[in-house]
Amino acid sequence: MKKKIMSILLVLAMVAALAACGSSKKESTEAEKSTTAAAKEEKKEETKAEKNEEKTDGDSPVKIALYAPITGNNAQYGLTYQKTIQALTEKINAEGGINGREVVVDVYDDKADQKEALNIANLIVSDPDVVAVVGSQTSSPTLAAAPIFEEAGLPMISPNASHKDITMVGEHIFSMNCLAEFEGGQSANQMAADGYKNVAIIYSNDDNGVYNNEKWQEIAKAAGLNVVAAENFVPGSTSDFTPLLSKIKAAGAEAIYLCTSYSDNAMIATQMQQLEMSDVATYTSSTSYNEAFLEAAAGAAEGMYVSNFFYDGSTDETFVELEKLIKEKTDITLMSVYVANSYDAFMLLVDAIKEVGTDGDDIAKWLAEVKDWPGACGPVTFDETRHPAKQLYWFQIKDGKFEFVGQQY
Amino acid sequence: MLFQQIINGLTIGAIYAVVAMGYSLVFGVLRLINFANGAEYMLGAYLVYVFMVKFGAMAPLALPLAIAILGIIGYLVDFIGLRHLRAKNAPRMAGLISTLGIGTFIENAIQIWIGTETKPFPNFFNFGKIIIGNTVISWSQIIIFIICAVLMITLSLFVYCTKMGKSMLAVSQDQMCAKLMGINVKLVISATFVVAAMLACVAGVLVGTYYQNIDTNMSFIAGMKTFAAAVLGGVGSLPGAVVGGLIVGLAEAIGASYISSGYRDAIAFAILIVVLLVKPSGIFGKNTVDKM
Repeated sequence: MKKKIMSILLVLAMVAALAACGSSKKESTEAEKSTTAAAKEEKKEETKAEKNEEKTDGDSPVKIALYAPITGNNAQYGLTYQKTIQALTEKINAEGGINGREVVVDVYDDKADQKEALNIANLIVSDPDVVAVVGSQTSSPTLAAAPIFEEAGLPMISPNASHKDITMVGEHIFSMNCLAEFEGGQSANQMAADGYKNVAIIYSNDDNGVYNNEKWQEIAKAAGLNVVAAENFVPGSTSDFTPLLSKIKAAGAEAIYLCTSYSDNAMIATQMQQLEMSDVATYTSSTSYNEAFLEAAAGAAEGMYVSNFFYDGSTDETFVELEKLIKEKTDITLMSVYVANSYDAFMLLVDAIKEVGTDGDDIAKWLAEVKDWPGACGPVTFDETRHPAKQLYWFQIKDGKFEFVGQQY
Repeated sequence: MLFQQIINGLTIGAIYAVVAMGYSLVFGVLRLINFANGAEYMLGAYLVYVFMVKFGAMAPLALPLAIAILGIIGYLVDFIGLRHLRAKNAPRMAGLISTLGIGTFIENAIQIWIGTETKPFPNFFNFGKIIIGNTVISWSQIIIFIICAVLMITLSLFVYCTKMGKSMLAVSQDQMCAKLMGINVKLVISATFVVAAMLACVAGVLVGTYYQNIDTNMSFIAGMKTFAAAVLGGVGSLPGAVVGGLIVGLAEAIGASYISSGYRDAIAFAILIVVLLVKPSGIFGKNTVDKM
């Protein structure tokens, strides 16, 4: 008897819920159609008004949101952003903040997952105090979140995402990285310059990897290289690279470009050693220029070429100052492009807010017009794709250290 | 290249087989998939990492210590997560969710405790390689395969020839009847969990030393693959688990090299689906209908 009553109640509850869902959805779609445009305008004006009010009272903090992988496979990168930006925030606030207003950074963890990034983006735009956004690290989550910020008129700078489509989203979206084809393309050119003929690529099967592979192959072929194998893998769920490495070995590649994150890279290096592939040259991008990679590869990566956007002996004033701050305030021991680019992204936003206030459109306009702004990897000027131009330096891993090999123009 | 891929596939397949035997053992006795098994596998590898890299312990000390701790954890999974559910005659689904919860707890605890970065793992069997033509066989591959084979044989002898093993078989056939015959069912169930956890620990350490790397995703991948291997061979059957593990390992390696490495997981699971369509109980499974 009890059971029967329970089940009837449950069924009733379900029916009620369904009915409620159905009707509310109908209403909302109809309502949306007629009033979206008007509502948007209103909302925009409202938020503008609010922000102007804030500006006048002068004491409320300036809130900047950071979304990045703080946990998960790419946590190493997100934590570098977090530590860098925290150190910078402390410094700015100690020096009196932005025009007397304190800077507050909200950190969100996207786990390098596009679904998480989408939820976080909605969370960030629902907070009226947030004036600008930094994030994320890889292309997939950034691509998912960027349209939300564009629609809300919030300026966003991604420190490292390099997919072409990210900044195409709209005028509020910037990237501190150069386009992906630059770094990969230069590695293809470097391979040709080093005298290799038959080459292969290993790339992760995500937005960044697929796009990079396409561009890299184009440039490699243009440089006269013969691409004998292009192998992909599902990042995060692959630990056995021996099948694809054996295939590349059988295809007779002399050099491999590794378009992978540092953890995958470390496993590839180890397994290449196991498969007697030490005579094959390996080239990889700045994603592996960090200490976690050297630790994880544990000696297997000796001889690997790694590109980076600055070199350690740089005498650039901004770079030296940043290095000093990082060594004092954080436990980061090696300057990486993740430190440099998160510095650039964050400080650009801070400077923009100093100059033009907290209005999203004004910040985006200021950023687009910025010329030779002193960044940690050299002067920053955004081109029409809202990416800066960069210079590339090559390093080789020797005795467990990155050794500077040369600059590439 | 085919021979190389077979060697690669057999090595990883043998490790899958060891974990799958643990799955099968528990399933045979309780009719329950123990989702904490993948987490135990990861914990085993991380414990050895902590003992050796952080505390500088030697391998002969670190390994038995980790296996012993995992044995205790296997017991606790049953004691904390399942015993009360069984006593209250809870539906089987509750037990399944309970093991899933314990697994998630262990994984997240490791992530907080050690961090999410990929960690280097010592190679215990670094005795060089044998090169035959184009094929490279490393001693670590050979030793891993031998260890797995020894484990498979030992476990089979344990199950089919010892009193405890026979009690396990009896409990898996009919729990109530076994109880009436004077078998200590509680003890037998605990023993299966302890053995399964120890197997998972050894497999985790072997994977770590094979790739010389461990990361926090390893439990999920291992969980999926070994579960597939167990189902493929027929859940509850030990020879089935061995064959299933080897097939999944081989299919992955060969599929990844001849079709595309991006479809590696898809190939392994496609084979699983095809086998289940033809023989729903798995290759070695018995066609029995469970009364719900």
